Amino acid sequence: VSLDAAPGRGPRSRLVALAVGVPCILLGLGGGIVLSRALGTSPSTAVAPVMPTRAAPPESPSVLVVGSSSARLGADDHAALRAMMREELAAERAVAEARADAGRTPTGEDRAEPPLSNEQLKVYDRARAEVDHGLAGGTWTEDDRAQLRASLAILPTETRIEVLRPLVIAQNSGKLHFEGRGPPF
Amino acid sequence: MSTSVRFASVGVALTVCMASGGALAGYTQAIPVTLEGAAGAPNGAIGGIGAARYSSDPVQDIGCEIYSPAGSTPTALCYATNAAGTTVSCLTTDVNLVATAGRISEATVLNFTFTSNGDCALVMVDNGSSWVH
Repeated sequence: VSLDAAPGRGPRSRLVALAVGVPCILLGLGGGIVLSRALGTSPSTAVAPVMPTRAAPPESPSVLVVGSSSARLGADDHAALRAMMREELAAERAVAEARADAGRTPTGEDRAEPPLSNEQLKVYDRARAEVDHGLAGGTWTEDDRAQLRASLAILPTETRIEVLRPLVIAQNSGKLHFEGRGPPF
Repeated sequence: MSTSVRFASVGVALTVCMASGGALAGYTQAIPVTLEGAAGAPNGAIGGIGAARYSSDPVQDIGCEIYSPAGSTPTALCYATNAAGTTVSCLTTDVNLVATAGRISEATVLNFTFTSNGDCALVMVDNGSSWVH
């Protein structure tokens, strides 16, 4: 406000304006301070010091700790708070697991194989008989290999491994000798 | 000496020169097939494909077979036979081990170890020019 800008006013009117305006301004400031104290705030505490915090992850709620609190939770409140936190953690874990499952490609171990057909069951029985025969004799020949390979060709992986494993274990422990050349099985 | 005889002589000389050892150079190393682990209880094997193939005995052999039936999990069976005729082998359906076993060539030294259950615990394929024989 510029007092000089008021047209038609002299020095006296300016003095009058100052005499009235300055006390009014002081009165307003004083009243404001009194009022703010009455409401429990003060200019020094209205803006709390903000502690430097790490950038929160986008999905986590942002929490700003302004200062120490003298509030105390009762036992019921503690229990309720724990329950809420458990629920939150469980929900976040479920979401994380769902995302991990969605991003995972099936491995050989994960693939479920269908049950054996009747023909495969017959072949499996025959293959097991061949294996048992070889284990009993302690020797394995190229003919045995050829015969077993023909059987294994139509068996799924898990079953094939199940048939071959006893032979491998026996061979590695010296209980089965391969009398041929090339791959034993 | 007729012209045809001269040409024949030159051809024979060139053939002898090209077949001599001087045409094959470079560092080579033979890794014979060797079983690893305690005597009588092996738990692995190592050997060069080239070394086994061109060994003086007709017994050494090392390699991996890979079964890849359509719609089913691939399986690898690695095996090794040393000069004494002892054979060891292991099985795996581990995708990484099967993939490694598929990288064998004549320039490979293969090393594999296995558990008491016959499962491959390690398949190592070392490819390099020095393993070619």
